[in-house]
Amino acid sequence: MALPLSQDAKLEAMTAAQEVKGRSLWQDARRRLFRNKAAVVSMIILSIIVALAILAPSLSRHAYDAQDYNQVGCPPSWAIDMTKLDDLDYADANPEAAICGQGIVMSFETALADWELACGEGASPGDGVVCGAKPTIDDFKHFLGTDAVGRDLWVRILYGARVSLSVGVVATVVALFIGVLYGATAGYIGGRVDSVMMRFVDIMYALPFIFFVIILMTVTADIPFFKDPFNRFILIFAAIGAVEWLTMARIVRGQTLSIRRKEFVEAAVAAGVSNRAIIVRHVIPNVIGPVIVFVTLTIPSIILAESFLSFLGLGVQEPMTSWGVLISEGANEMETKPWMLIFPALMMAVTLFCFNFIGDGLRDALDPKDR
Amino acid sequence: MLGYIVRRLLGAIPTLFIIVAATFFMMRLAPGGPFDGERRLPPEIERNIKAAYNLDKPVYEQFGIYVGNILTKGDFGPSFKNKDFSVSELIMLGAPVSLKLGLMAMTLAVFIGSFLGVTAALRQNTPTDYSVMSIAMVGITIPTFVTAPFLTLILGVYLGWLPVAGYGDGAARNMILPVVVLALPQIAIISRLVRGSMIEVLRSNFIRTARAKGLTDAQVVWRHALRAGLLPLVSYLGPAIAGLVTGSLVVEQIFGLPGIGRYFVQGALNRDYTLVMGVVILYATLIIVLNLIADVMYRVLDPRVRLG
Repeated sequence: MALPLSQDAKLEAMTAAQEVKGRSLWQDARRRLFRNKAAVVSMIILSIIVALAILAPSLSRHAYDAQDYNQVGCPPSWAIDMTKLDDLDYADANPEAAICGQGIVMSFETALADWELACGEGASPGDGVVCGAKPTIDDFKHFLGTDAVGRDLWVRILYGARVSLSVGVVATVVALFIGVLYGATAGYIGGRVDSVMMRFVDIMYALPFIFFVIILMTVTADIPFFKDPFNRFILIFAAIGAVEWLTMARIVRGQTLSIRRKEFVEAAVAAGVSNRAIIVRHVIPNVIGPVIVFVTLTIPSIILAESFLSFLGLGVQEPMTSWGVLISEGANEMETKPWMLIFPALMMAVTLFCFNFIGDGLRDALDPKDR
Repeated sequence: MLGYIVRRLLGAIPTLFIIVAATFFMMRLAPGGPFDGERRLPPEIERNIKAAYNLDKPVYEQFGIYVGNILTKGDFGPSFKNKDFSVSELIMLGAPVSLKLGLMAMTLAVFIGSFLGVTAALRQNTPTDYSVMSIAMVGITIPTFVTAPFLTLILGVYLGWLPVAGYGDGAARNMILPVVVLALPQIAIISRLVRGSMIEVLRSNFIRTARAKGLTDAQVVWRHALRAGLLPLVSYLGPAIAGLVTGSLVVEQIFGLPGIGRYFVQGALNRDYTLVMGVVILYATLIIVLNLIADVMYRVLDPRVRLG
């Protein structure tokens, strides 16, 4: 049997209980999110990918559109630029060295050792061997291989990441902006305005949107203004974003409808706050939870939509690239150059997984029912 | 019920009209005519061609003619790039292939998807459940245009079990890869959907009653749980068709199947405006009609919706 607590102990326990701080929704959500291992790992991987994409120009010696004519369609390897070691003779003397394009594939160590042997200090160059400069690690360049016209695949994947990720983010912001404003307005004003506005969304919803994006891309392909790669790029943002806002508008409207009846909104109305201010100051901040979840799930679907367009040849144009373009090129060459398909596809799959896991994690973290 | 159907049909008309109008005017926005080739045509010939395609009339009149021809004759006009064909002829050429592909993929998706979903729900929180759900996650995340080349690379190129591409007059060997690739995302979505609804159903009171009166597990599942658990599948029919249509664009392109989707993509790349327009209108109609059918079926099947 437990001993009755002394008066002091009781008091102590009570103050201790009072000192436990209440947690806000956001602190709680963050704690729950960080307990979700898949989401945390995804966030780490995604940050690495984003960092790689941002730093892409300084991460490789190659330009994304530069062609290396000595190494066209080379498999991933630490291939040396054999122009520095008279290549044909070298190939004859080393039958085990694989020929790729006009270069020879071998490890850096082998190449260095061979160079030391033939041209290093104290060695006398044999007949017909022309000694170039000592090979450096920089010559071993295309470690994910090159594509069918000799461009470095690693750099192209990173530049593809820049395009794909920025399309995903910017188009989502477009969708977010239109969707939140539209949905909050419809939900807040309600009545006939609401039904007309949502009827419009329903109609748009019935359309197979990707077809409209395709039509838009087709139609604009002949307009000189949109032939400029950058303008076309912006058009893709706008086209995809302009369609993706529909779901956003629906979600926000539903949330707004329920919030509108809450007491604090009534209080704001009674205090004479304008409609606009109520929507911006009170309604929108309260619908942000589901919106954040939706955003993390929209980014991957937009990346997919852009890749889909690019895959069909209607998205970004040469020499710009995106994951869709790379996968499409890879699919065309997969029988002889499978690395051109495998690496971009892998990169895109990993990114999409990360976004989905983060989205799921956020949904669980922000769902009050699950507490 | 009849009133509901009529109301929905009437509601579909403005939607379709907007689709046709939007497509038509977007196409007309494009600069230059469809006949601006490398070769400059003599002006009189150009005038004749334009007259033949009604391009010399004002835009609204062209629109009227276009809509009129669709409604009265089912005629989407001549293809601008495949000179000897009308759009309707091209669509009819591709339809059997696309229909076969779509139906096979749909059947596969519904059966495998429901099977996986029910299995996962019956073994909730077991390794079976987790593996089914992770595979579903893969299926949802990885797009068709990645799975198609990958499966082709493994099964077609490396193992040599299946042909890499081609229609082969619809031989089963040629259809396996396209159908599987097209069905994969749908299998994933359906299995998730069915798992969720089955779990909910299995917890409900009437299942407890069924168990309480001594039915075996198999009887409970087959006779009671499945009927309610598979219901959400019906309302997913519409989105599934939309997904299959979008997927078929990629699948037909990759595997070189002569279906509507391939014509559509080729048309978009060649700026064959009438062909693109025709296919979009066809697909939009298809999706709207199937959505309608799905909603009606749902009402028929679910007494709660009928009463509500």
